[in-house]
Amino acid sequence: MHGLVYGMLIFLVASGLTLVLGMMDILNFAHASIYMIGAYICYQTMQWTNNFWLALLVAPLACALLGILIERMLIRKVHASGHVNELLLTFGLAMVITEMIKWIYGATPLPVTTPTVLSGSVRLWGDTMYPLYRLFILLLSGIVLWIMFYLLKKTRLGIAIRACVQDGVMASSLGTDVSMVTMTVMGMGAWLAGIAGVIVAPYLSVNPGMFADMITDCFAVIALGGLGSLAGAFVASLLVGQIQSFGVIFLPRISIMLIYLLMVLVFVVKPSGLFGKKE
Amino acid sequence: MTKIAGTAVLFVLGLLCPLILGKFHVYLLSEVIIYSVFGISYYLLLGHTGLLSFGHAVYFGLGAYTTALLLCKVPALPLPVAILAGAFAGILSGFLIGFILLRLTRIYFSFATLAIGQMLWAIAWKWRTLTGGDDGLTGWSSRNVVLPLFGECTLSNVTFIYYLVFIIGFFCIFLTWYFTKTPLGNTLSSIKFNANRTGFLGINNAMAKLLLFSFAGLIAGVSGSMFILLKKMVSPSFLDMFMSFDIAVISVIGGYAGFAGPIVGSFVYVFMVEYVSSLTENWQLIMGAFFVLLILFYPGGIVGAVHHFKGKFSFLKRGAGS
Repeated sequence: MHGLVYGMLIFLVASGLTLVLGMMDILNFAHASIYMIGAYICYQTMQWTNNFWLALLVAPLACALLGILIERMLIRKVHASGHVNELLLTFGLAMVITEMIKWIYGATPLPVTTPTVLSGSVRLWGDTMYPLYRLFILLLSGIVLWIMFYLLKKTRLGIAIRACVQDGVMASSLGTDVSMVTMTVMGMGAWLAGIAGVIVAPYLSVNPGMFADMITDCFAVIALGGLGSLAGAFVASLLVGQIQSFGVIFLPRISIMLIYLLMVLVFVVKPSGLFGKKE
Repeated sequence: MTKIAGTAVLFVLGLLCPLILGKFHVYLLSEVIIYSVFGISYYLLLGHTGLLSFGHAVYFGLGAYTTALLLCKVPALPLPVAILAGAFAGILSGFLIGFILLRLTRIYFSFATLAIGQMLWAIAWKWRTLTGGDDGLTGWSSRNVVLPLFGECTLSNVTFIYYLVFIIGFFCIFLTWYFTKTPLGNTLSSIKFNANRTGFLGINNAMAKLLLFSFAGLIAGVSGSMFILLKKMVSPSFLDMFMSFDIAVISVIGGYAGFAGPIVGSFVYVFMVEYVSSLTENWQLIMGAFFVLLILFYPGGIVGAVHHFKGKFSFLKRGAGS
């Protein structure tokens, strides 16, 4: 159950990452930084207004804006000078953001209080008690993801996005404004990452190490699920969430290794990921 | 000709350095040389063959751990053997990892290197009985080495380490340069431009890449062995992803279009880290910002920027000549 909650959180972040990856062939290191920024904005808003719901509204929007800015002002500029530089740019960006946060907020973990409506536990079945907030995470991420899937599968925009992920050049020559779609996806991905950041803030604590934790899990998800495959990413997120929570219980000594080992195995056996399309 | 002369001047300058500079700068210079060797190994992959690896610290770290373990557990072992063992660990890991990665291209490749690197980091971190876990390994710096001409000195002697690093480093860089000039080197360079075509020409791409990984592993392994001699310890941070990122950063700062890039990059990186970190706590912020700005405005790194300005001012030269 904990694994499920964590898996959902990972998927919120990884879904944006995998879409951008499928479209632009960039591993956006800064994506996990956006998630972290979301958490810090949540902390800041809570400090000022003590209103969690406001944070839930403001932070993802700010993140989306940031994502679009990063895409427009930075990544696009470097596009001409090659794939390697694009990758390294996002990495440098992630470094700058992490350091900036350390500079402003310090390296110590900051607590965010759970809103009173959602604190406490509920009785699930029999004597099993479960924290209400985790159920809220499940519910909210479920709703958000349902909206995302609806957008992707049923609307015109969704069709355009899926076309661009499959073959950008072809989509462009058929009259899709690829640059616009890219920007939208960047913004949407950042919005999702922002939501994840906000809802994770009371669940875990807010600290600069969030970036490294999330990025490794996202990598694992993308590697396992296949690059650019949303359904694959979903299954892989839940899988990684389960491995993380069960690994810690049953195999504490090698729990970190487990994920990487799985990644390497998938790369050896099926490089395109468990659900990825053939290259 | 100018290149040979320049190299000779650098060589002599390098030999004279410990006589002129203080201990602290000699230490920093040793670090620069080690990073240069490591960076040049990275250049073979990134610049020469066009493969972006995020796990290059694996070869470096395995070389480092092999040498450290041998120095710790086998007290009678002579130093050169320990370094050679580090080199061999580099070759072996390069070969094995190359074997796994052969089929992968582009982003898949970068990804898999990262995964392998993190896996080995986790092993080094968790296997306390062998690697000492988070504490790492130490304890060889008090050893004595007997030199043929200079008599006896301890392994913590900075000047001795500098000369050791300098000679080995120079040799490694020369070897790598020679490697790029061989037919195999040319093949790898052409794989970068069009892998399909080299395949059609009857060149075994996979074999060429495998040899490349082994060779790059060798050079990185040697640099790792030298690094532990300088640092007097080894820890899992020598093979984690941040080490791999460091070397990517160095390559970008210097530029990865040629041999000068990693060397200039290491020089700037080491001295910048040293001086900026003494000025402010947030040195990583400044480094990161510098890195991002460099990619944005001078994607060719410092060496690229120099060439750029040379091109801009070349009309002056031509004007003077005619």
